[in-house]
Amino acid sequence: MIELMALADGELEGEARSRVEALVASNAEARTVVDGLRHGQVGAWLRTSFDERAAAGAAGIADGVMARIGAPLRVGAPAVTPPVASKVAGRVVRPRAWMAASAAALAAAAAVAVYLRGASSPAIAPRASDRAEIAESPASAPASGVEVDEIDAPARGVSVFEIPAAEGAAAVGMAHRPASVVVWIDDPPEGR
Amino acid sequence: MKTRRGLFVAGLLVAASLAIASRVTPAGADPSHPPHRGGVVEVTEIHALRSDGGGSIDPRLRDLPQLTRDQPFVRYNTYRLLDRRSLPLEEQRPVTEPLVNGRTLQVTLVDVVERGTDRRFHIRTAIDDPGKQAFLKLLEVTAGVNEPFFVGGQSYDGGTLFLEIVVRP
Repeated sequence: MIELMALADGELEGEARSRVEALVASNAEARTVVDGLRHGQVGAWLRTSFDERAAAGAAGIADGVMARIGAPLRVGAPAVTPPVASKVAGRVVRPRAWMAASAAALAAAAAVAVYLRGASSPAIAPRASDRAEIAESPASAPASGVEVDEIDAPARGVSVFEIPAAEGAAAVGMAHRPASVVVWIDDPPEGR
Repeated sequence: MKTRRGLFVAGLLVAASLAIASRVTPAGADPSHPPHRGGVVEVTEIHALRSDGGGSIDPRLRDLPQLTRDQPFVRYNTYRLLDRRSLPLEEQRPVTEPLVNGRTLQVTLVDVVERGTDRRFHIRTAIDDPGKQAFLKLLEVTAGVNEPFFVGGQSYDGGTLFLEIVVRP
């Protein structure tokens, strides 16, 4: 593509120019690109060409983004192989068309990025329920002890007993015991 | 002309970078924190009784001598270890175990949170009662390694049943 653009701009010389001119002579797509560069039709051609290639199932992220220019976004859409350069005889410079194409590519990429991030949101959403936090500690304090986040025991009485950490545990031969909790759920003997 | 080509190439590069970044990094995922395996959760079933003839504590229940000074353990003076099992924990994969009273315990590691050098385990627990309403529909706690929590109150054999649940490394 770069060489096609250079050819259209008359900036190719020597072997490179011969090679690209041969390509343009033998390849209709390359010819279309160079013609478009000289007559400002490249944007429309790119859209059509990429859409056709996307439907054919080629692969490639950047090209997929290009293919989406002007089309609805689809996650996992087949990507495209870019058209190979070509050659032409005239040279009309239409920078505005290419600036627009580049800007459109950027906008499409940004949109795809935002869309994909939203589409793959984590399965576990923050729970906005009535969390009762036990043994809450300041954010700067080291994490320790058990925190009760949520309890649901329908039709039963529930009590939560907080057990403080055992500071003097070593004195009685016990390992350090962190703060803990006992969740007590009423269960009448006749209940079983 | 070179400006035109430069814009084209720059546009392609930026577009490719954005698209690849979106693909590679799932939303909400921190690439520096790969999915965790949860280690092991140890479940201990403890039968607690109030005995007039003097109490006893199973020597395998190492922490209980201290705990019996606190509510609700102080209500009982005899503790027997009925069963102790280690169950593998993986995120979002519930493990289910039958209890001695016929109910079923289900433990799920919801996620693992890093707090500095500590790992905190977000654990969801439920106790089903076959054919009846769930005894415990949901209990969610966050605890570190070797930080036990208890579920008590289930009537069992003239006393009560304590479940000690703790994540082991």
